[in-house]
Amino acid sequence: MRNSEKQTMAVIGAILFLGLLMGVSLLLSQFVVAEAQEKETSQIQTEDSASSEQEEEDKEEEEDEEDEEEEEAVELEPGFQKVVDEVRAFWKRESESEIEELVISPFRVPPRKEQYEYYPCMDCHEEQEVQPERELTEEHEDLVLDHGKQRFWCLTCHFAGKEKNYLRSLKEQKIDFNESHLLCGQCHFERQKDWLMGAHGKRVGSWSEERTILLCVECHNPHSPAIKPQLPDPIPKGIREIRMERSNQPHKIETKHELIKVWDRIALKYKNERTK
Amino acid sequence: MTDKKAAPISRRNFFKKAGTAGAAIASGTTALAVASDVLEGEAYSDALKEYFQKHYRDMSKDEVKAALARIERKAKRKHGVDITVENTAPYAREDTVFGYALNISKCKGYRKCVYACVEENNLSRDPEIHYIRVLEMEKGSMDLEKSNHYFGEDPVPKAGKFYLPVQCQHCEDPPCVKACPTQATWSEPDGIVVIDYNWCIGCHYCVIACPYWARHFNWEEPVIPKEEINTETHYLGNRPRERGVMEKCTFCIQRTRKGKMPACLEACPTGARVFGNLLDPKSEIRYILENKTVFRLKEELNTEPKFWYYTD
Ligand code: HEC
Ligand code: HEC
Ligand code: HEC
Ligand code: HEC
Repeated sequence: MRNSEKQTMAVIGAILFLGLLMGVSLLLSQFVVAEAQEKETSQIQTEDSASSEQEEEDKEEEEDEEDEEEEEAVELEPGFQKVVDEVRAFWKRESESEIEELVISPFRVPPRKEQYEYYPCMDCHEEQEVQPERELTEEHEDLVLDHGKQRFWCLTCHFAGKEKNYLRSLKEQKIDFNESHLLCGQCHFERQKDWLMGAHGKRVGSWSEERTILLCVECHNPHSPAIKPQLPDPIPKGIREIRMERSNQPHKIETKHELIKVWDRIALKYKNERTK
Repeated sequence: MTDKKAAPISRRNFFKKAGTAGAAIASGTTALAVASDVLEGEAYSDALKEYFQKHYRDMSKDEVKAALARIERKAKRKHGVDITVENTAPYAREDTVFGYALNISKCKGYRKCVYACVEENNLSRDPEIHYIRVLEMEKGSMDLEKSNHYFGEDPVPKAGKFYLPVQCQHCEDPPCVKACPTQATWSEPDGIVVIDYNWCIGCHYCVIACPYWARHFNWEEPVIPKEEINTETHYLGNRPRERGVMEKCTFCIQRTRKGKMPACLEACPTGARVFGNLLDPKSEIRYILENKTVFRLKEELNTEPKFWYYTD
């Protein structure tokens, strides 16, 4: 129990810290991407050196945290634990500009790339020249890029020329289209963490067994991720209930949240009842 | 109280007819003839047995089995559909208590949950019954009284608004249960507040007691198009109801007790809804309760809802 708690703490520490790391690399990427699309190589160098510094600090931080004892550590399900470990390992990996392939995530996501209009990309991109201009006229012309205040271009997330069948991390790692959350997580680490924990996004199928987790791109178009307004389903015809109209009680929402752990109380209550 | 159609007899109006039949038995030989004007053979004996059916929690295994079969036969006669009525017990794994969390910064008021619930739970289409009410609220205000339930002319989300879906909160200390004079409603071991529709007398005490407007009354015989009837049902959940009984959200007992997610969650396009086992420290819902700013509706009433709202 203790060991696993420690491990978990370490993971969480690392996650939080990596959040920071991502923040920094986001800042960097924003500068760099905007200014230097053509100078791709210099961008990568900047980022690499920045992140290896971060990584060293990261390790120290982790060791510090292992000494600390904290009770509220969340113990992850083995599946999630593995993801978190992998996400961490992924971002810690030294990137010598060679393209690495990532292991498939240990939870089910509904596959994506099979549905694309344009897959496999290499059908065309084997011969396609890289477009240096920020305008596409021949193909993908309806694609609107409205993400991150226009600070990045296709090549922030896609490989130039070859390897178009994969997404591209900021460190030039290969990311499968069916694991695009790893791409988003580079810049939206807080959201990704929530997503891994089940507080953002959606999981379907089962609450008790293996979940199917929807990828970010099921809800957010990666090229224009803001969710657009739409008409809701029909307006209810009207509710015939005595309560609605005649209520004279003030219906205020009480936002004060009790700090006592409700679930502990509930657990206790049910235990008592069951042992009766 | 006359039956317009030759519809099968409900528990309440059967009262009257049984009375007539009883008198006939007393007076002579025409008893069954009178009764079979309305019902014949199995239908008649089913109605009789339904009338004398015990409370769900007092029935033996065999009695429950017989009751489930009766409901299935009745649905066949009444709606012409083959349904299965199950009696899935609280989740097999020990220590399961269900809880729900809803992210109000994600909910956009699309009402997908409302209609998924209608379909899953065999809710009457006309008159309309909805277990979920999505309220459109002023940002910054928490006044439910000023909320709008009938939004939807324009695309949502609208600027300056947020959306608050309200359904049965499955209180730990449910006022509806206390109010019920016939014990037709109670909390199950997995925390779901349920109703035995056969024991509900439609007195409305629970409606008045519930501070969340979660209970809905069948003022009329529910109408559901035959092809839209969900045939996978649970005794305490979405089995066909009749006029004169209360009903409400059961956390989709027919699904969740089999490990599935509730229908409203599956339908939500924004991922605002999270369901799970409160007693499992590794569950998503526990992560939310421990790491997000959560609140419950009308906490001051001490009803202890197992339904949390959160923001991020
Ligand atoms: C039908 C052929 C075709 C397919 C399939 C295709 N592309 Fe393209 N793509 C093009 C053409 C043509 C251009 C150049 C457009 C222009 O210059 O207007 C292009 C340009 C691009 C660019 C702009 C940068 C560059 O490298 O030129 C990106 C990024 C891109 N494609 C990504 C993809 C991805 C990812 C896929 C697979 C999901 C894909 N494409 C599939 C034809 C295709
Ligand atoms: C923020 C990162 C990002 C940027 C910038 C980006 N893409 Fe993509 N793109 C993605 C992701 C992630 C997917 C996978 C989407 C999915 O799974 O539905 C994708 C998918 C695609 C596809 C296949 C999807 C389909 O429906 O056919 C094409 C083609 C494509 N991108 C082209 C482009 C082009 C051209 C640009 C530049 C104008 C661009 N992308 C910019 C992240 C990005
Ligand atoms: C290179 C960094 C980067 C990557 C990779 C990235 N984003 Fe973003 N994203 C941004 C920035 C920067 C913003 C703008 C934030 C702002 O406007 O405050 C943004 C904004 C967003 C928003 C908010 C949009 C809005 O207007 O409400 C969403 C949603 C989003 N991203 C989703 C995604 C998804 C999904 C992916 C993966 C396919 C992804 N992002 C990948 C940098 C990134
Ligand atoms: C089930 C659908 C769904 C999935 C899956 C999902 N999101 Fe979101 N996300 C939303 C909704 C809904 C919003 C709220 C948008 C708004 O407020 O306009 C949102 C908002 C965001 C925002 C804007 C900031 C905020 O919180 O309002 C970011 C960034 C974001 N998501 C990133 C991600 C990333 C990264 C992933 C995958 C790891 C992801 N999302 C997966 C539905 C989803």
